[in-house]
Amino acid sequence: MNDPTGSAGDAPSDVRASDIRARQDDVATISQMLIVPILGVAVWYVLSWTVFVVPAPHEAVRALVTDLGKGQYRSDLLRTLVKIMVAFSAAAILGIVIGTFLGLAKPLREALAPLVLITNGIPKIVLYPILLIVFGLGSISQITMGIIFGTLPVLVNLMSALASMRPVYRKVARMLEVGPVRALFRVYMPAVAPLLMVALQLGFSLSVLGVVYAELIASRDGLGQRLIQTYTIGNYDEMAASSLAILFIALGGTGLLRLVERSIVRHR
Amino acid sequence: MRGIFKSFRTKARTVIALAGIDFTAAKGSFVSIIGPSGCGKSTLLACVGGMERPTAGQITVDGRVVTGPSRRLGYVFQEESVFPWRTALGNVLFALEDQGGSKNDQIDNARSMLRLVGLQGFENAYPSEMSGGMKQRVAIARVLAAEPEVVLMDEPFGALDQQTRLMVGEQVLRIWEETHQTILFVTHDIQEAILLSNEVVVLSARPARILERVTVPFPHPREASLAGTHEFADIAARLWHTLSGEAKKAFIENEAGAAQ
Amino acid sequence: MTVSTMMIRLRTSQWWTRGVKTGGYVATVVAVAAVWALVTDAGWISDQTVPKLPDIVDAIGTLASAGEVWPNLASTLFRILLSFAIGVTVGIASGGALWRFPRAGGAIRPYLSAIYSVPLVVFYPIFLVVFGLNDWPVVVLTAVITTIPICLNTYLGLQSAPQVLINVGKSLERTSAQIFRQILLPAAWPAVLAGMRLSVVYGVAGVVSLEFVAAQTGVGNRIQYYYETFDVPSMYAFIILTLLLAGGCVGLVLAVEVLTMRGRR
Repeated sequence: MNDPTGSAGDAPSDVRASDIRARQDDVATISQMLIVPILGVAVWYVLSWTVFVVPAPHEAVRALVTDLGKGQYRSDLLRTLVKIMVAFSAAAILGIVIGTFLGLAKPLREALAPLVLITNGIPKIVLYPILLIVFGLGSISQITMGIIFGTLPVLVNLMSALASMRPVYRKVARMLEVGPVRALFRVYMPAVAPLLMVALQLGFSLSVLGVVYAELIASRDGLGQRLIQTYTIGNYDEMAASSLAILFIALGGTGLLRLVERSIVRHR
Repeated sequence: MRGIFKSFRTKARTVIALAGIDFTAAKGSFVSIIGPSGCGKSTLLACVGGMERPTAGQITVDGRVVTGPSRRLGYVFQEESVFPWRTALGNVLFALEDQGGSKNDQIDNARSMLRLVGLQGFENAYPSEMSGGMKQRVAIARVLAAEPEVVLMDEPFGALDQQTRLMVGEQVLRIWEETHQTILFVTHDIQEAILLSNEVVVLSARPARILERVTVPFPHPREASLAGTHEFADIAARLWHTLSGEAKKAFIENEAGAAQ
Repeated sequence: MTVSTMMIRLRTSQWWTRGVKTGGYVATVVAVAAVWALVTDAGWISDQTVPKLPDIVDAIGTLASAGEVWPNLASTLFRILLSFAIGVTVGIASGGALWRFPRAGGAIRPYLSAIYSVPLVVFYPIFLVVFGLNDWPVVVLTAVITTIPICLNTYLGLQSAPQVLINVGKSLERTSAQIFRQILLPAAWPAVLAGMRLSVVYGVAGVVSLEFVAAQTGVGNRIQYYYETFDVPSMYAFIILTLLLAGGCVGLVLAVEVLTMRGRR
């Protein structure tokens, strides 16, 4: 079915042949990795030629670079970034704390499971107008929206990870008379660390989503607001530029978290 | 050390796992517990270790009643119990970390435990780099590091292949010959039971009671070649005879239980 | 049968567990409503911020008689169902295609997972530009959003089908199409369902939030409208209606799950 890269047949009798084969493998892997982005950019170009209003990739990049030179733009970018960081930090803490309690305490979890599931299923964006009424158009509304978006994935995933942790770890902790606090930090958290990282990645991307959505709908400042503004004015190059900027923030943050995840999983 | 067990009834589903177990193990003895599958030998061990509460009856170890798990009731689990995020040394250290003493002393202690189980040189290996037998040995080392009064082993070699079982089994024998701790060893392997222990306790099918207690008279130190001798075969045959009747009963009951 | 046997039979039966679960949901909703009533009655929060429950119910009534409720609900529901339908079909098809061509699958899969981290909403203005101010931007973007979890889950589900099952099919001389339909798809179905559960939540959220920005009809648009005209009870009315709609959609997927997974659990 899936034939592995590299030949399946004869054993190389001299070192050079296997070296070449290894290098071929490397090239194959790298080219495999790059195919999708290259194709993606190519499709973008085609779209920009066929559809009048879609700007070409290089035009978008140029607009972004120009924008980054403007102080006002940079301050908007920074504001969005700060909102995201604050929202994510709070969401992570909330999600971890609540997720830990629910994950480890079965009766609590079963009692609150309906609440968690319901909260998970509702379109949380509908709460934004309420936030606007309470907090106004300022950053707090967008940050709160980011927190609401980001807490749930962390909570639910951590809860599920702890609940399905191998029971033998708890037994070992009990047998060795490890106190609850020490057990939490030295046994349970390390046991679910890889899943926790995945949960945090999801939480981050959702915090970004929450903040950006909120800025799109109604905000005083930020990249999301710029996005809508440039659309309304018809400045499509800058619109694409801001989209790119948001994408980079999202991918960058998730990428960093993924690096952390890699280092944790390395030995397992 | 006297372990006194009485009758138990576990699970409110009115499944009687253990019905009237009375037993005393002499201090420093190596006792194996065998019985047909699902007869409750693991449940019994769990009660001794404090992992489960007997519905009725009491277990005392050295005069103190067992109310819950503790370090003095060292427990080696059947499933893999080493922490994958720590090295072998780290795993053994875990048992020593909150017990006081300088860090260096703890490390030395951990190292000697690993040497005891034959893993010297593998201190910095992670469980992902180790075989099943090695991981169980780390688990044993971790348990021993806590200096338990009794060592409880629940089919510790269940997941290992035949050869590894023999080798790790011999290792356990050597450790016991050196430390002479009281060991309760649950297994389904008759040969293993005879080879390693002084006394073999045979449990019946569910609801379990003690069918027979057989003393294994061979002197220590023992070799694996013991399994080829006549005396060994006699004991094995006797135990096998007792067990096979029970095993059939247990098999039928299990099938019926699964179908419900 | 003694009473105690009956009690045990009852407590371990499926209906009891289902009853307890439903009871949990009902209890939660009641609890939330109770807290709401408490907080608003005690006057801790001003009426302008969070109206009392009866006021909201009144508003729903007024809106209903004004003919506002059903058309907007229908509009939103239509968009949700359309996007979801597209998402499911394209998702399963593409997931199957990725599995069928493992080289492509291997290359694309990390990017699929990466797209999860991207707020696809940033493409909304671009879609608005391309498609104009109608239903298409919302539906297309939401369709993309719903396709991804299903595609990924279908791909992973098919991959995780134990090879032994396929071998059974081959030894019984089934064709590839038959193996796919009769063995692989059922084996991958739980994963596909999990993807659908995720997708429906993203789908509802996607449609509703996009309606906030540039739609003429739909519940999201109404919430935005009543926010801007400071008609707070009506705004809350539509928020509650949206939550009910979301619940209905999730319930739909759960129903599919229950119907198709009989006997498996």
